[in-house]
Amino acid sequence: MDRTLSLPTFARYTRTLTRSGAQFWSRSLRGLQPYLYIAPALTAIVLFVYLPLVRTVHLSFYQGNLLNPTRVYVGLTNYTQLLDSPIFQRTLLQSGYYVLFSLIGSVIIPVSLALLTLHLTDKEIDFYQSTLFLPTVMAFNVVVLIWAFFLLPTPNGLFNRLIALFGQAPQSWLKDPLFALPSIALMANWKIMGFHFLLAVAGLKAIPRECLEAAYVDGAHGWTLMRRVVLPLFAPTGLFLITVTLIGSMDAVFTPIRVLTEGGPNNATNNLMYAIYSEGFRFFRLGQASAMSVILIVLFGGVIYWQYRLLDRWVTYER
Amino acid sequence: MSVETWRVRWFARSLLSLAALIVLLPLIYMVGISLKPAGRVFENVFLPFTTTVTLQNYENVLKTVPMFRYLWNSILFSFGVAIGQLLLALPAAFAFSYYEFRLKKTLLALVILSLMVPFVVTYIPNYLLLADLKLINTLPGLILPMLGISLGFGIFLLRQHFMSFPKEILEAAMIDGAASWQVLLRVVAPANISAITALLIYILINTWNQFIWPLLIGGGREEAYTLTVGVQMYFINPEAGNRWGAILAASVLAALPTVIVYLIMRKGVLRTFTEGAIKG
Amino acid sequence: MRKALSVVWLVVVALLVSLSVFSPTAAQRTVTIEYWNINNQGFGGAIVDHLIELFEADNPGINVEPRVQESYPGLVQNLELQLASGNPPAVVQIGWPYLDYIYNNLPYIPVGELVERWGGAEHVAQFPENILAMTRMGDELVGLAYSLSNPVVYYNADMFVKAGLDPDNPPTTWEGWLEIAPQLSEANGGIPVFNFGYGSDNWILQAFVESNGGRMLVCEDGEYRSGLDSPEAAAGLQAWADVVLSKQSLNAHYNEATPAFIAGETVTYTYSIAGRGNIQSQASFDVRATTFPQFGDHPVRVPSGGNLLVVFATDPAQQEAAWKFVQHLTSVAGLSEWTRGMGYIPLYEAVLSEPAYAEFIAQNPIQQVGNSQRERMVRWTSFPGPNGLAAGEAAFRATQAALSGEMSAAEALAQAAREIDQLIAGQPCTE
Repeated sequence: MDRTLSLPTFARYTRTLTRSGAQFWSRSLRGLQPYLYIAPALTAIVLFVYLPLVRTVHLSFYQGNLLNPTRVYVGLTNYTQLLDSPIFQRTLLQSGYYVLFSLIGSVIIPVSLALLTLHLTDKEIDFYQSTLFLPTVMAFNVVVLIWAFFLLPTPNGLFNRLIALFGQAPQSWLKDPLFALPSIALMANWKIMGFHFLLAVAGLKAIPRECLEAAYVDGAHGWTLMRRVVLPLFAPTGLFLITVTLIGSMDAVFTPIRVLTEGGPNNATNNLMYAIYSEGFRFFRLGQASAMSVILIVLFGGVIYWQYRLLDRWVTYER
Repeated sequence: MSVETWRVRWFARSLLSLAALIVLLPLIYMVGISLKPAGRVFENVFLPFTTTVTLQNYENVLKTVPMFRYLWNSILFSFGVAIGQLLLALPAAFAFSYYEFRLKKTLLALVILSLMVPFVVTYIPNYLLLADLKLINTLPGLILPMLGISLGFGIFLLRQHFMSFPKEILEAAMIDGAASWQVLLRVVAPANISAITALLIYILINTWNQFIWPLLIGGGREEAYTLTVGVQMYFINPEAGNRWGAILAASVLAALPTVIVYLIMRKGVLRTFTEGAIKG
Repeated sequence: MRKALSVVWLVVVALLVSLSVFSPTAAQRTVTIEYWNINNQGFGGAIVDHLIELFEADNPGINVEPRVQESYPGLVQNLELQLASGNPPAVVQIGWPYLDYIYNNLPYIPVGELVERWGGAEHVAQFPENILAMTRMGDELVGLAYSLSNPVVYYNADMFVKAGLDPDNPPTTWEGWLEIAPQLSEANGGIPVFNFGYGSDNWILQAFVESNGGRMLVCEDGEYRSGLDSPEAAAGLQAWADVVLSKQSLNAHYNEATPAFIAGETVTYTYSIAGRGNIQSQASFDVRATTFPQFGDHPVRVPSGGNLLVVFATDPAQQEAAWKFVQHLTSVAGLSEWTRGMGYIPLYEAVLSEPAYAEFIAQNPIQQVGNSQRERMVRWTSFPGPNGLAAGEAAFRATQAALSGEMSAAEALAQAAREIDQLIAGQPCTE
C-alpha cells in the first residue's frame, strides 16, 4: 500500500525536476557529496529490491527448490507451461474478479462517501475520517480472525444465524466457490476503505473553494455541480485511487487468503500473488514461482505505464 | 441555510454514520466476544456483549502465550526498521532536495520505481539471501530487507518536505561555514521534525502490522515471533472447545499498540498517510 | 640423539598441556541439538517438553531445544533454508506426504548410516517389517516412524441415546451410517450427523478412495501414474461429497470441525486418533469412537497420519546425540508416554505390554479402536518427484471441487489425474 502512494506525484516530479533544482547549491556543494549521502540508501534498495528482481528473472529459467534453486536449466519452459495452464488462466481471471470487487469497495464507495462530505464541516469530516480509518492501523491477520468467527460454517456462526432468520440452511462460506472469493474481498475492502476515503477527501479538499463557489453562484447545483465542476477537478485523485486499487487489490487479499483459505476451495480464492507464494513456499517450485513473478511485474508495469500516460494527458488538459 | 442544503446535509450524515457503524461493528464484536465468558460465546450471538463481562480470556492468553516476548520482538522489529529507514532516508532525501548532480534524475527514478516492485516478488530471493547470510529466524534477518523494501517512500516523503524548506536559511548556515552534514543535522532535520516524526510513526505502524514476512523469516523459532505471528500460531492451535474468546482476546492485545498510537497521534498519522499521495 | 629426545619431550609436554587445557572442557562440553516438531501447546507441546526433560536427565551433556513449527509444509520450508545455510537441525518430524520429497531432495542421514556409525541395530530390529516399510525408499530407511495415526469415527453417545439407538453398537459400514443418519439428525435438532476434519491435504480423501477399492498412486510399466481416474476412486470421493452436499455433513477445516464436534454441533467426527487426548479432555458428553467405515465388501484401508523422525545433523557430536534422542523418543518408555498423551498408535509389540501403557489402554476404548486399525493402515501417499507436492495439491483441489458441488467426483478426479500425471511424469517405480 505504501509503495504505491507516490504514483501521481512520480509523474509530476519528473516534469518539474529540472526546474525545481537549486542552482545555488549546485555550485557550492559539488562533486561526490550527494553520492555519498545517497549511497547507503541506494545500497539497501539495490540489495533488497533490484538484485532480488534480477535473481527472480534468473530463477525463472530454472527449476529447483529452496535448497537448490538452480537444479536444472529449463529455458522458457516455466513460462510456456504457465501460459498453457488453464489453472493459471483461472488464477489470472480471479485476480481480475478481485479487482472488480475492489473497484466497488475501494474506489466507488469511498469516493461517494467523500463526495457526501462536501456539505459537512471540517470537524465532522475529521470524525468520519478518523473512525473509518481505524482498521487501516490494525494488523490484518489479527482483525481477519473476527471475520473467521462471523463466517463459521456451523449453525452457530453469526452469518449462518443471520441467514437462518430467512430460513436458509447454514453455509460453509469459505468452502463454497460462490461465496469464498466475495467473502475474502469483503474483508479486504473493509480494511482498506477508510484509507481510500481519507485520500478521496483530501483530493476533494484540494479543489479550490472559489471554483465551487463561483460555479454555485453561476447556478450550478446538485448533480450539475458535481458533474461539471467537482468530478473533473477530482479526476487525478480518482485516477490515482483506481491505480492504487488495480495494483493493491491482489496484495490486499493476501493475508486473509493465507490465514483462511490458502487459495481454496479448488483455487476459488487464489490470485496471482498468492499463487507465487504457494509455488515458492508450499510446493517448493521456485522456477514456476519466479516465472509468475516476472509475469506479475510485467502486468504491473503495464498498469503503471497506463496511469502515467493517462495522468499526463489529464494534467495537460487541466492547463 | 436553505431547506435543500439542510436535507442534503442530514442525508450525508446518516449515510456516513452508517458506513462508520459498519466499519466499526467487527471491531466492536472483536472486543465484545473477547470479554464474554468462555462457555457463552454463542449465546445471543447477535449481541456483541453479554451482561457479564469477564477478563478470563485475557488472563488465559497471558498465562499460556508469551505475549510480552512477542511484544518485545514487535517493538524491536518495527523500531529497527523505522530507525534504520530514517537513517538511510534522511541523507538521501537531503541530497535529492538540495544538490544538483549528473545522475540525480536516474537515481531518483530508481528509488521511486523500487516502490512499484511487489513485496511478494522479493520474498524468495531475499529469503535465499538471508539463508546465505545465516540470518533466518533472527531479528536482524527480519529487519534488514525491510530497510530497502519501502525505503523509497521515506526518501520521497522527506524530499517533498525538504524542497519546501526556505533555502535562505541553508545559505545562511553554509556561509557560517557549517559542513553539509551539520546543515542536515542542525538545520534541516530539526526544522522538519514533525514530518520526520510522522514518517517514523507511519513506518512503525506498517512494520508492526507485517505478517507474511515475519512469518516466513521468523516463523521457525518462537524466539523470533512478532505479535502478528504469535497470534497466527495461537489461532491454528488445535486446542479445541470454545476458544474464540481467547483467540479474539489475543487479537485485541496484538492490535492494541497501534490503535493506541493512532488514537494519541491521530492527526499526524492521518496527515502522513494522506501526504505521500496528494502532496507534490 | 639428544636432539631427538628433546623433540620427543617437547611433543609429550605439548600433548600434556593441550590435554590439561582441553580435556576438562571436552568432558563438560554440551552438545545442543534442535528438535523440530509441530507440537504446539495445544497439540502435545507439554509432552514433548517432558520427553526432552527425561532425555536430558539420562544424557548429561546433551541439550535438546524444541522448535515448534506452524505446520508440516512450513516445517519443510524452514528446513530447506536451514539446510541451505549449512546449519541443519538435528532431528526433524517429517509429515508422511513429504517422505518422497525429502528422499529425493534433502540431505538426510539414513538410518543405516546412523546404525553403522553409532550403533542401535537392536533398537531398529524391534520395529515390525510393515512399520519399517513405511519409511523405506528404495532400499534405504529415511528415518524411523514415530507418530502414527489413523482416522477413527468419534461419536456423541448421548445423541445416540436420544435417537433411541444403541451407543454400544455403532455402524461399521458406510451403508449402516447412512441408514441411521436421518434418525440421528432428527432426534438432535436437525444438526449434521457427519463431520470430516480435513486440512489442506489428502488424508481423508485417501481413506475414502482406497477404502472403496481405488488407489491414489499406481505403478504402470515402471512409471508412477495417478490412480484417481478410476470409478472406485470416484465412488469414494462421491460418497463424502454426497453427505456434504445434502447438508448431512459439516464441511470444515479441522480447526473449525474439532470445536464443532466438541460443542455438540455434529453427531460424529471423523478425525485422527491423535486428536483423542484433546477431544476427550474437552468434550462434556460421552465420547466414543469406532473404526473407519467399510464400503461394500472392499477392505478398509486407512492412511497413516503423523510423522517420521529424520536426522539431518552432520556434525559428529550432534549426529550421535540426535540418534540417541531418536532412540529415546522411539523407546518403549518414550512411545508409551507419547501414545498415551496424544493417541498415536504404538509402533511395536513391546510398547503394548509396558505396564503404564497396558493399564491405560485397558481403560481407554477409544484408543483401542485406533490400535485395532493397525493392520488396515497403509502409507499416506507421497507423490513422487520434484513436483510431488504440487501433485498432492491437485488432488486436494479435486476434493474441494467435489465437496462444493462444483464438479462431480468423477469429473474432478479425472481432471486431477491428468494434472498429476503431467506433474509426476517419468518417475520410476518398482512393483
